[in-house]
Amino acid sequence: MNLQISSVDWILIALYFIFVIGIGVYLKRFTRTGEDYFLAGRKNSSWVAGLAFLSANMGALELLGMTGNTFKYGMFVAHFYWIGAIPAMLFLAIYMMPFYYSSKIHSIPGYLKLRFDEKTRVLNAIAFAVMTLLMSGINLYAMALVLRTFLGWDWNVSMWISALTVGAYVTLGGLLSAIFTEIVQFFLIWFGLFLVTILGVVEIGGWNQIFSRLPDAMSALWSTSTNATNNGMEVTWPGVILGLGFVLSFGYWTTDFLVVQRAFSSKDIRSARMTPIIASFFKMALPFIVIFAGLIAWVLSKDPNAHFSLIEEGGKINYDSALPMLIGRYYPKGLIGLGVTALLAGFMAGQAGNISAFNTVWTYDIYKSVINKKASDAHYVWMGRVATVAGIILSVGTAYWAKSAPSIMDYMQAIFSWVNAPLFATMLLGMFIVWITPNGAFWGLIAGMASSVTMFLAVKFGWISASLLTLSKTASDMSANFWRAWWAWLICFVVTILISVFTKPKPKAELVGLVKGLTPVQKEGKLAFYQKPAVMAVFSLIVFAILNIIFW
Amino acid sequence: MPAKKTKIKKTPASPVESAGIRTKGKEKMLSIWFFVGLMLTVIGVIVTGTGINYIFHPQNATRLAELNPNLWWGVIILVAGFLFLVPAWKQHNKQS
Repeated sequence: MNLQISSVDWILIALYFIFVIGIGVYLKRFTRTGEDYFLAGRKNSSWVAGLAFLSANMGALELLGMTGNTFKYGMFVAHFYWIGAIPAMLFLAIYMMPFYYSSKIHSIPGYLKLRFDEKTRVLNAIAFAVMTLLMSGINLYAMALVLRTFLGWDWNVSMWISALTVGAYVTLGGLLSAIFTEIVQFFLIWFGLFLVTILGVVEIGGWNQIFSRLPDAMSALWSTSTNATNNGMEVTWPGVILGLGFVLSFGYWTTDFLVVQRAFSSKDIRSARMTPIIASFFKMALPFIVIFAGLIAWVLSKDPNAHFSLIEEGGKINYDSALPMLIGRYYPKGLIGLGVTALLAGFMAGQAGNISAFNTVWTYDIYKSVINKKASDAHYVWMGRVATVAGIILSVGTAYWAKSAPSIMDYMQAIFSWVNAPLFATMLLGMFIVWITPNGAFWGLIAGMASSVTMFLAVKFGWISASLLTLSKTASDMSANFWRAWWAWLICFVVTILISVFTKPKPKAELVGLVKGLTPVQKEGKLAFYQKPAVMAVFSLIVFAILNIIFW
Repeated sequence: MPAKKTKIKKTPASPVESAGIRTKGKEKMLSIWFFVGLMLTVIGVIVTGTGINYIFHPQNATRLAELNPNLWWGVIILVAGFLFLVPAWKQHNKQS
């Protein structure tokens, strides 16, 4: 047990649980139709959708993991927040959102149905549903692990209480509940964790002190990326740009329904386009918590007078302990409760995000599409609630599975490159090229997913060397992941085009509003500059460029 | 979530947009900013309280505890809470 919890901290934690369940109870009466339950009534402003868009992605696991990674690899990790997110988010806003939003779909598989056909939709829906439940279970397991390590809480108790809480408020209020708690989480994370960075900087004596104590390999973003052996992550810049910046990032931000669903909930097309742009500014700000906390932890651990070290378990350093150890170092009672609540909120909001995306895809793209086509709206809302409960139970099952066989965690790390990387090729071709055919998309997607899994297994069991994929002599897990995503994307891209050349496309009349070139450009009318998506996207890009130059 | 606007969100709203979801004829949904404000205010009060307590019973169990982070960070949270809570509450009452 590392963090001492006093009674005032318990009060803060208990208040959070009462608060989120209260929100669910309050929102239930406003959640009547399918549109209300699955898309929060399509009435959100761009600020609500934007903060939820970001929070759905910003889980506590990521916060702990990325702080730990920074301790290990240094500044390089900021690539995940900058090049690994911002270009993709802006691309989604400017180029893809108009097609998504104006087709009034409920989900990403729903777009595949309109643009291609039923089989492509069901293939993606099943892949997404399985992926989301697995992620949800893994999150639950990881959360229980963290709570046990740092607070000494019982594994079963913390897992069941958080699963039941999330299950309760999502069942009651659907996506609206999930979005409300995500926004609450956003503020909790900033108010709960940013103080770590502030106090760390105060103790060490300023930004410059921190950077002057870091070795070159840890303090740079790009200047160490020409040679894989110069940076801790063992990735070269083409790996960062193609694997992380292009395929993984675009695959995640533009096609992962978990995040895109938040933009679908906004009230009009302009708000939908502003959603990822608003999120992009806050995404760029996150390294000021995560990366700086990691760097502070590293600097303190090298200073013999600071008496700071990470937890070691069986001779292995537990990197994820960096953030909790800093909380324990700086937070007196009262603040400890706030810090723990922020992490709990992060875990639970991530869980709610997974479950609310799962219940939508299950209900619309599997149940309504294959099992029961002609039921009433009320029936589908009921089905969504059933799917929420079932999803929670399956997540808990997965969590117990992960506990009994921790090696499945390795597979989960790779799961995005199995599902999302090829899907991004399908989406890109489908949205921008008219003659891509349903069969091309279906078989391209199958080829991409199958090749990604094959590459993963081939490296895992030593059939081929990882450096064959990464085109360099050294290959860390991270760089193998980046490159595998790139190859899976390329295979899906090429196969889709080849098969499309020889198969029959959909009639153009059916593709209006879904493909660029067949869709009339919508006039935005008179708006202030800060309401125009294009202007704000350029502004976001400028901030992005400045950050990259400062930390070059 | 209604498209209800508070001063925190800078985009102007038309009266129609601001109407929000209505159920049972009358009841209008409180905006998310109200809940954010409520939560931050409550947390702010508690954390500031522990900061005031520190003045009378100093306990230097953590690093930099002598700076009393609970007090000034608690006040910042409290102020942020009010900035959300007050406009959201006014807006809610004005429209219903």
